[in-house]
Amino acid sequence: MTLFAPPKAIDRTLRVLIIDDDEEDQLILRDMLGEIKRWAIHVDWISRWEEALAAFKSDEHDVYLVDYRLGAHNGLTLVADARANHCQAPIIMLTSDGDVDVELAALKVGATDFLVKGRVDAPLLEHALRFAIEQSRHLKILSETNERLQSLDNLKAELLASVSHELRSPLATIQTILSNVQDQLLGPINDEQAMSLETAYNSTKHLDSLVSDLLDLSVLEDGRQMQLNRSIFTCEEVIGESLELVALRIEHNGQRIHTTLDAGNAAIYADRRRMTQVLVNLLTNASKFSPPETDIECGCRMISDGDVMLFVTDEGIGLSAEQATKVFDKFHRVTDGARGFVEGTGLGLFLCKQIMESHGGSIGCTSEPGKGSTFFAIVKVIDSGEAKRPDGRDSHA
Amino acid sequence: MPEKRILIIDDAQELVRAITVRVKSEGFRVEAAFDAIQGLGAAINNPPDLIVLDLGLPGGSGYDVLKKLKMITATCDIPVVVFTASGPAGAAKALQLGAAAYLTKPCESKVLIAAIKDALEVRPAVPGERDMLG
Repeated sequence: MTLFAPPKAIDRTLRVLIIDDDEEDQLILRDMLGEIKRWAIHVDWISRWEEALAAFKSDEHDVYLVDYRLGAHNGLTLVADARANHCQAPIIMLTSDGDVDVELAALKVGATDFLVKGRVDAPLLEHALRFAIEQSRHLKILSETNERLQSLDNLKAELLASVSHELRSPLATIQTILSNVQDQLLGPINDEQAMSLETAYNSTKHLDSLVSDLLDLSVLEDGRQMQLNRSIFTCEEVIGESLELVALRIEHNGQRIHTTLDAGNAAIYADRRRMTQVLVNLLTNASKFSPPETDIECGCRMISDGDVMLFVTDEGIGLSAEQATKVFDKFHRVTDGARGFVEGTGLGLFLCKQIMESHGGSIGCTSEPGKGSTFFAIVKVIDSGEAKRPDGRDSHA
Repeated sequence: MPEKRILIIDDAQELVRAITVRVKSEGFRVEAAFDAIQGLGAAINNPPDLIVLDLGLPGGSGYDVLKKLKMITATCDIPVVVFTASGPAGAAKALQLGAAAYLTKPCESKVLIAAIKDALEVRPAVPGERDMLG
């Protein structure tokens, strides 16, 4: 169906179904409808609950006028049932008194409008019909647009997952070949060739981290939770592993790295790979946005009885207050005044935030432009002396 | 001591060639199969000492291959190192089905070699630790 095609309701003929167990009331309504000249109105009438359910299922009318009381039944459940059965036509509910609570309840379950029987005349009914038809048409357009967007969004998530997956195999091939040549498994190489290979290898590692970010995003976009593979480890261990992964880059950028392990022995029950991913991200950013000959400090300290803070402090370009509020947003990229945009997908810190939140922790930053930033991740700690897994097994099995 | 034989089941032929160079350099013998049926056949007919298994294979998923390997007497004790482009999400399932390790592509060659050597020593699997190798 074309999105903006005129709905059947504005045709010259309007099929109206009155659902009312009071014959006299339906005759009054029928008379009023007869006075309306805007449409050629064809009126049907049913009085029983079962018939009404069937009528909504077959959905052959343009407008439904439904009495609030239908024998022992309540018109509200009828309307809710009609909407549950995907009847999109306008439903106007009628009642003998104007109870605001009932009116709100009717609108909540899906009635388009609400009229009080004794106060309705033909012009008011015509107005209500016109309004209901128009509102229903807009809702239909909205619902169709929403469905289209939903399916496009699903397609995007599928594409994202598929592209990230398909990129990994060729990346693995390139990395393995490069390391085979670097390690001289295919014959000797000279120093210059070795340096070029190292650059190529590091570039594939960078590409790998971008692909991993996209793969993580595809999982989150798909509405799935980030899966955590938890184990118990100390803050010192995760800091050590993270520093090992970024030490070369920091050294290459000419910065000095320091560690402050005030709570190095604090044990946490978390996904080790994910926690390393967070720290590596914070350390990489610190290095990326800091000039040479500056200090980068990575450490941990207890901030309350149950929480430990892992932090990375740099003396880099810093963030303005406005930037600091957006820095964890999806696709947000910090610009370096001197260099413009800095490489990256703008997903790193967004994913760090997701990782910390999926651990029940949090992430944040304090910063001052020109002076540097501190990024920190807070997570619950497990008492290492009595460290047990939540399932009761020993932690260090 | 005779060389240990490693069977790589992966449809990415270029990757298999590259891994073969690395694995051979460590003193192993390498055979390769490029789909699930061929891989299962090779493992049953001439059981290797270890299998490196991709999960996205033509002719059946790597999980099915792993399940069948663990059901057949001739192959049930062969350590299997899963090496997949599917990301870490499948690790729990693969380890539950009996994989000795779960590595995600790409990973450094030394990590793959460490996982192979580790699995050949038949150390009991520690899921959290093994997944870290990816």
